[in-house]
Amino acid sequence: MTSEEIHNRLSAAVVAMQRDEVERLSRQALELGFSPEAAIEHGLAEGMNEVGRLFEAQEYFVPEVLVCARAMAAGFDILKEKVTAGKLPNKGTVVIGVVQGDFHDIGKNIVRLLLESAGFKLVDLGKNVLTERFVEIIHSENADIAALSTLMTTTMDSMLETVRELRSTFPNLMIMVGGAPLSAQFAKSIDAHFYGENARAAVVGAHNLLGLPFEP
Amino acid sequence: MLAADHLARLMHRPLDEVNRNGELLAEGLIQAQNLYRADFVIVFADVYVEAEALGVKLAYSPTANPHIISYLNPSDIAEIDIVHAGRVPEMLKTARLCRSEFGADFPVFYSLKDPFSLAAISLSMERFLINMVDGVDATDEILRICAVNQMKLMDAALDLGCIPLVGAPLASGSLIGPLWFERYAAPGMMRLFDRAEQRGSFRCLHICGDISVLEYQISHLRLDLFSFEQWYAPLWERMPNAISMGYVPTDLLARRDSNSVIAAAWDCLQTLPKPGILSTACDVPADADSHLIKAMMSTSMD
Repeated sequence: MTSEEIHNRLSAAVVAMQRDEVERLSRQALELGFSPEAAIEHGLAEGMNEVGRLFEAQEYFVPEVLVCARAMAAGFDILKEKVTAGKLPNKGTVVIGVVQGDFHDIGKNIVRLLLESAGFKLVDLGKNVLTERFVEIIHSENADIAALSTLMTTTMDSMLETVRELRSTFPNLMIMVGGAPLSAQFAKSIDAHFYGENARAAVVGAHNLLGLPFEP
Repeated sequence: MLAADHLARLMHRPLDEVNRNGELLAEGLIQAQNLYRADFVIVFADVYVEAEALGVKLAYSPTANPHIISYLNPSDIAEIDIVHAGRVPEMLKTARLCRSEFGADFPVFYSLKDPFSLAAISLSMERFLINMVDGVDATDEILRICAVNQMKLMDAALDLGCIPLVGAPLASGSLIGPLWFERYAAPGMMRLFDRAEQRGSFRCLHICGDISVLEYQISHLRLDLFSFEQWYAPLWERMPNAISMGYVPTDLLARRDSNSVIAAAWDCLQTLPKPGILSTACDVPADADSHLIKAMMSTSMD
């Protein structure tokens, strides 16, 4: 089997939610001496890229994305042991979190998964994140993008406050927002750079914000 | 659509008192009704009331909505005397007090979760959904138990003369799509709606998120009242007899922009099939300016 065949099968197994098959192919890739970085990038990540496309096309929904991500993570756990430091692509650092007062993180988790698999370095601050925490970590990580999420109308003001603080503290930071009650109008009104109406849009948006090409 | 957080702000009371005290919640609803003059009220505190009754542990705060500090395991989900569990007695007390205050002819809705959303909230959304896709047999049983508990709650609300409004925050098209909705969410809803109908009440649903992908599934629920967040015209061709309710975006109320609120309310009034009910698309933000809500309400009067 060639490396290309392994990559294609890995990708297909991620899309098909076949965790066991992903694990088997990941081990096989290592046994055959193929590059673990390439297996991650052209197999697992490519599969998640396709999952993102299916999600955007409303062929997959959150349950499928979660199970695909679990399959991808299982393969990643096997391949990462052999990864050479610095060989995986890093398109930029994204600090992601759910704003203060909101404990709903499923949307944020899906955005994180898709951004990670697209080659960004993700720093996940979790949920109910204080503005001060965003500031601290964005500074220490020298982040390129802050990705803020909220599911509730009641915490939209939190988002506004966090965006305001980040804009004034980090003039070069790109800020993207998303979440069920938000809109492009709202994002514009709070001076965020980008509103992602779904996780796939967030991936496209992250590329655009950093001036990177995005290949669907 | 008012939750305890906005009512607490109106009353200048700590939120953790209002969403745990049926008398205070009723007082808040009555105060809000005097202020906003709606055509009916909905008894609702926050999304966790029934999950807490099932055993989910919450943390309360005087300034923020409760949040979950520990979820249940699938084996923890059991048939319970939900009417007497957790905060449910306080919610029913609110319903009773509202019934008494507003009189027999004034509609009082009682909000309760659909079984799917209740299970997903109680077990944690991600874990529940992953188990569901894995085809874990327990999913059907969990949903059955949640439906049984919610039927008891619905009966109690009906006994008080309330109209049950089934809320589906997580059985949403945006989250689970049509196949999972049909397989796992719709059956529990149907059980609740059938019960309401059998008891001479109405089949009322509020659903969050995208409804366009659920056109077929929602139309088969035979709804009398359908409250939604996003307009989707083709759905009403499938259910012309359902009363529509929506859908002024709540972010407008958070942005403190009265022109946008009024414009959105007009847009809704012109779009909603008649008879329709003008409402916010989801819960009013806690610190929404009362003047904006009144502006929305007066638009409907105009």
